[in-house]
Amino acid sequence: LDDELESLYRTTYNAVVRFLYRKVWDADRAQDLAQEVFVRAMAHRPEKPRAWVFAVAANLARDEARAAVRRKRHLTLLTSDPVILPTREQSADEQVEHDEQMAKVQRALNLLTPRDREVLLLWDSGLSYPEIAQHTGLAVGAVGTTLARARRRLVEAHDREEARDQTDHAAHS
Amino acid sequence: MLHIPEDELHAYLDQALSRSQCVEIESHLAACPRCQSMRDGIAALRDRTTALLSVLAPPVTLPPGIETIRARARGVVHGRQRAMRAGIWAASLMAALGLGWTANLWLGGEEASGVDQALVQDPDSAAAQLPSVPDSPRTSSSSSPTQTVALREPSPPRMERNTDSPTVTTLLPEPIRQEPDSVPRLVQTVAVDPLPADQDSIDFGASNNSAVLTGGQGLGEMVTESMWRIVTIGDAEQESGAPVASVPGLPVVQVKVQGLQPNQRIVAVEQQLATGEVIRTIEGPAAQMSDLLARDGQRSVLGQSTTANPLDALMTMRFGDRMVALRGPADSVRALMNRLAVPKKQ
Repeated sequence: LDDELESLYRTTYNAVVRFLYRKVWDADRAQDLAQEVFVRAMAHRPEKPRAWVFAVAANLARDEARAAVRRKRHLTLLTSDPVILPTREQSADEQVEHDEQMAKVQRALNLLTPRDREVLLLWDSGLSYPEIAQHTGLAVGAVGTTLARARRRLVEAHDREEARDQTDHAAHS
Repeated sequence: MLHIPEDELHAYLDQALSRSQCVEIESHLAACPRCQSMRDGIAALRDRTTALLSVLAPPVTLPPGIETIRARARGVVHGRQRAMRAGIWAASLMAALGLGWTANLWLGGEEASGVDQALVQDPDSAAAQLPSVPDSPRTSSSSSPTQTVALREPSPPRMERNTDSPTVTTLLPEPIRQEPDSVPRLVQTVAVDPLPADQDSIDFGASNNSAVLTGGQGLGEMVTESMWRIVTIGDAEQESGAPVASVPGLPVVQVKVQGLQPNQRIVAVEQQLATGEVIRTIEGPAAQMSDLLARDGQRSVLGQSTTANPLDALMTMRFGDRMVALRGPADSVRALMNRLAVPKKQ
């Protein structure tokens, strides 16, 4: 089990960070929480560690959101602009463009229902349909339907954001 | 000609179908231009979704070494063991208190009536008849771990620090007053050992049922003569003598038990889905369950807590003389019911 957990840690750590980041919108916090997830996995030694890790990550992200609300901190979740650290040196223009694109995708993602968003993020983190079904309560057959709807709505919402952005630019110029 | 549903094409591209389903879909695609077009559209949609989500990725960083995680995990395990030892210690203390209290009720009951009569006539001589009270109640705690004295008045106790031993807290009643028609009450005085240095408080655990009786939140909102007891899942299984009904694989938020008789016991389990929604499973004898659902109009039994969703649906199923009810998101409740693990009860 130790080897399995170690292998899982090496292969899934970044996916867990990404999954958490899309919930807390804070890269450092996402990494802290991801480490906490794996610490708990090592301590609890779950039978199905991969699915367990994402379930605990979802719970930690939710606790984080509640704590943020309690502290009334401008941390997170679905409405604030994401805090990002550039992976490489970017020019100011590139940085601005990247931030704008990120904000648009984030707004589009926030327009999905919580169920659609969760299924989409779990799928993007690499979970299988049965694993997604287990943690969302959906039937395995319903995961495909939910995913189809979530993808369509995300792209449609993003297109609307793009169109609005272009209209705004045209109005300003 | 039947075409492939959209969600199946998503599942096909996500490699979520069985080998035989893939073969079936591929043979259909080979002969159906319309489905081919739809597949290409879905593949493009899928790629675009992936590209959009990749924008929302944090900077890639190297994870800390596995040894760092292991060391922290060891700390967690040790902390849990310490907490367990403290729990056992606290449970032992409670058991000792309970035993002492019960024993005094049994042993002191007969004497108490004699004392009562004696108190009416002569309080001083009555005090001399009290069994095993080496000091007055105000200073008794430091000399004996557990002492019980007979008192006349059940007045609210006052908390006072015993200066002889800083770790001893003594419950002090008001002084005895002579009221011949009042009933003697038993008040316990106990010497308490200090907590471990690394522990702020004692967790008496959910097994201490008398301390956690609730009736006003979550599943216990209903107003009935019965009360829900919050217990650990281990205690619920121990009481039932079998695993409790729940959906495997989902984290358990809370377990509540109603009814003291084993054949009338109802167990309620709250579990959380990854979406944050809470599902509730209640299992018990069919007669009690029917009564519960009817009396409560299915309202507070399985929902209406702070986490309940008004769109939740309720589904019940009967197994012989037992019944299980499950409340959860309407689009999930049927699938959850199918996954429900219901133990066989005697």
